[in-house]
Formats: sequence, C-alpha cells, structure tokens
Amino acid sequence: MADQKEASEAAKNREIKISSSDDEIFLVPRNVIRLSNTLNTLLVDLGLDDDEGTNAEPIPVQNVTASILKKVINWCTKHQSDPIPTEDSEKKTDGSIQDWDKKFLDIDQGTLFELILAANYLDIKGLLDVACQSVANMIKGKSPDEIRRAFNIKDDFTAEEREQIRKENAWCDD
Amino acid sequence: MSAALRENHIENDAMHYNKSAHPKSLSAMPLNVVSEILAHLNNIESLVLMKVSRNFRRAVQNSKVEINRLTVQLCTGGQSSSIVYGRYVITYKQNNGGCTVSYVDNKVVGGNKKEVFVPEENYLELCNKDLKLMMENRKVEFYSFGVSISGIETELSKKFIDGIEETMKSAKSLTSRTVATYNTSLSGLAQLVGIFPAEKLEVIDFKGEGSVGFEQLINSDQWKKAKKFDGLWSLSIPIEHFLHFEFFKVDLAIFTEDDAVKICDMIDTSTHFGRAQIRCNSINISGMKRIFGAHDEEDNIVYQNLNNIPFYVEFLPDLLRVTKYGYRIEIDN
Repeated sequence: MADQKEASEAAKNREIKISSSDDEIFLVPRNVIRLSNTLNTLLVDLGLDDDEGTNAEPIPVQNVTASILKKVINWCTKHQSDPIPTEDSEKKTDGSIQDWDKKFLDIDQGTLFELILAANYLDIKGLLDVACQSVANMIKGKSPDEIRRAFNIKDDFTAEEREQIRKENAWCDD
Repeated sequence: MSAALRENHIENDAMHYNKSAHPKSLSAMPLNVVSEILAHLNNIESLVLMKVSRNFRRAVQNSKVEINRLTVQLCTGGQSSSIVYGRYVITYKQNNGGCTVSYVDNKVVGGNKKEVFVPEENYLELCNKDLKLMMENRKVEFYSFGVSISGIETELSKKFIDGIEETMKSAKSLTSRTVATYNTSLSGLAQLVGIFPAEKLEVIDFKGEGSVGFEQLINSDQWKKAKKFDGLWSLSIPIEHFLHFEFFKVDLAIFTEDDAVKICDMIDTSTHFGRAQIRCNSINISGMKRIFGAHDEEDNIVYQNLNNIPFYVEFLPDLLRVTKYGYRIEIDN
C-alpha cells in the first residue's frame, strides 16, 4: 500500500512533454495523461513510462492544434480523478451534462467539432462522450430541415428519394 | 528513443484517422464519431436523422436498436393504428383519401403534438412502413414488445399481425425478453412469439381468451423455454401445459381437482417453480384444500414439498395461489 501511494504521488509529480501540430510544447502531469489511451500506449511502447523525469523530446500530438490541445488538457486536468469509463458504462440518452462540462462545451460549433476529433484521436473516452452528448443535445427536438441548417448539412437525396422519404415518419417534419 | 522512431510510431497509431482537412460539417465526421453521437439519441430521435442526409441515414441504419418497451396498436373500428414507444405515441388514422399521422411526446409539457396528412396512404401500411424503418437490417433488442387490438377481432387483425411479423423479420437480428398481447387470439400470440428467438424470450403476457390455436402455441419452442406466463381473461388450455413455468397466472374456463393434483405433484419435485395463480369461476375450493392437506376453516397454509421447501398456499374465492417462500415477484414483467 505504501509503495502504491508513493507510485501514485510520483505519477502526480512527473510531467510529460507533448507538442501540438503547430509545435507548441506543453508540460502535462503524468496523472492527467492517463486519460488518453493513445498517449498512455505511446508512453509504454516507447519505453518512456518507466522514466521518472520529463522526456527530453516532446511527444508530438499531430492533428491537434495548440488551442484545442490546451482545451483537452484543461478538461483532463479537471477530470483526472474521475474513474476511467469502461465500454460497459451506461449510455445516457437523457442529455444530462454536468455544469462544469456544460460551461466548458459552450463554444462555437467548429471548435466543438475540433475538440471531438481530438478526443477521438487521443482516445479520451470521457471527453468524447460528453462532447458527443453536447452535439446530440443540439439535434434533439429539431426537424430534419432544422438539423441541416444547424449543422450546414447538404440534403443529398435525389428528388425521387426525397418524395419517398417525405412519407416516412411524416411526424418528423415541420 | 529517437525522434524519428517516435514519429513513425505516432504515424502508425494515427493510420486509422483520416488526415484530410478537418470536417466542417457534422455529416463529414468519422463514422465512429457519428455512431458515438447516435448513442446519445433515443430511437425516435435517430429516426429524424434518417431524413437529414444519406450519410446520416446510413449511420442510423447501421446502429443497434435497443428498446425498453414498444407496443403496436390497432383499433379495428376506428380505422387507426399506433406505435407506442415509451413517452412517444405515433398514430395513423384513415380519413379523406389519405392518412393523418399524429405524434405526441408525453414528456414535453403540453404534449408536443404534431399532425401531418399523408395523401393516398393506408393507415396500416404506413404504420408498418414506419415500424420497418426502425427495424430493417438492424440488430434489434426489446425488453418488451407488445401488440394490442381494440374492437372485434376480424380479418383486419390477422392482416395487422401478418404485417408486424413481416416487419420484424426484416431485422438483422431480433430479441425480446417479453412478448405481450392484448385482445389477440392464441394463434395470433403463437405467431408473434414465434418471431423472437426462444433462447431470449422469458415472459409471455397474454390478455385474451379462447382456445383456438393453442396447440400451435404450446408446441412452440418459445412457449416451452419461457419462464413466465401472465394471462388474463378466460383460457381453455389444459393445466399441464403451464407446469414448466417458473411463474404463471391464468384464468381458466375449467380447473378440476385432478388439475390441482397435477400442480401439487409438480410442486413436490420441482426445482424451478416459484409462483402460480389460478382463477376459475367454477373452482371447488374445498376440494383444493383437501388436496393440499388444509382444513376447511384454513384459508392459507404452508405446504412442505418432498424436499422440505415451504410453499405458501392461499385459498380464495375462485382462486388458488401458491408461492414458494422467498420467491421475488417482479412487478413489471
């Protein structure tokens, strides 16, 4: 137990150097990094997890800009003590989001999409889950036309398909 | 560890991710992300997305359907049908050369009601089409699936059930824990339970009467493997066909002392039986008491089976109820 506690403290104190796609460097506590399965796997595979100090060369996080990576780190820092969700974690369709997360996700749509892609790439299940919930909440209660307008989605059905679709679940439409 | 090797490793890890410009549209998101978003929508909300774009339609059709409770209703006299899905009620009513489709979300204050007229459509066909959209080529799991018919059973009822069967069979896979019917025949019940894999079906709930088609029902794997039967109204099925159930509740047209002996014999050796309730207008309660070893003045006793397991036996007017001590009755089948 004492050894486990010491290891946990060491993980909290250790910082990992990562860099964004636009070469900005971040020092992130190891305990925060654990929320990303992608980075966790990299640390193990590259043999960096056994080191006690900060890695000399940053781990590049491609496809994630500094502004988005900063947000990701902020979210992970807030949630570093949360239990890691499993595949069996119950999916919620009631749309509930905790207040802090709700405020965190009160951002423009483009940034939200970038955040989702980053969470997906870095395999941060909790962030992906809550960000996708936020998008789902934007969809709920809207008609197909409203959804297309809200998310700039092209109606790519043919005229014939559209006529058939109009009769399907007619209650969906305005 | 060299930077080049690290880069290569990350490249490999990122291979699954499309490196093209970040999508500016929701529909251009990676498929797994779209699926993740769909997981936060209930099935009715997902159906709306099927009308948004081809990509969303495909994504919904590729997703799994998990439904707690869904009932399809027919009103034979009113020329209307309904899909009742939790808080949502979608009704199809024939009128004026077409079908009026109405939608109510009972969770929303005021009901969030919509009404749309669809010309040249039949109410039964349109109901089935919409149900099929929910089911077709998808993995479907029900906790409870129900069919309800109000009014006199006619050929229309048969057509209705045939349509439901066809629709359900369009699913890629289909399971339900419970199948419940209201005012169908036993043959209708047999047809409906036969749609679902016997291995997953636990509860058969029948609010109906008669005996027509009971042979088809009792000979089905679904009947033989189910754990519970919850019946109401008058049935004409011999008691021995219920004795394999862990729980059964029945209203029988006839229940004799020989039938009670069969139950007593089953209880003596059964390792699965939990509870039975048998109602019959012509039941001879005194005879029942004698068979279970109760005195005339006793309205309930504890009956010890051959394995010394106690069963609580109640003798009520027109009703015999037997419950294994400690058996937990689930209120909601």
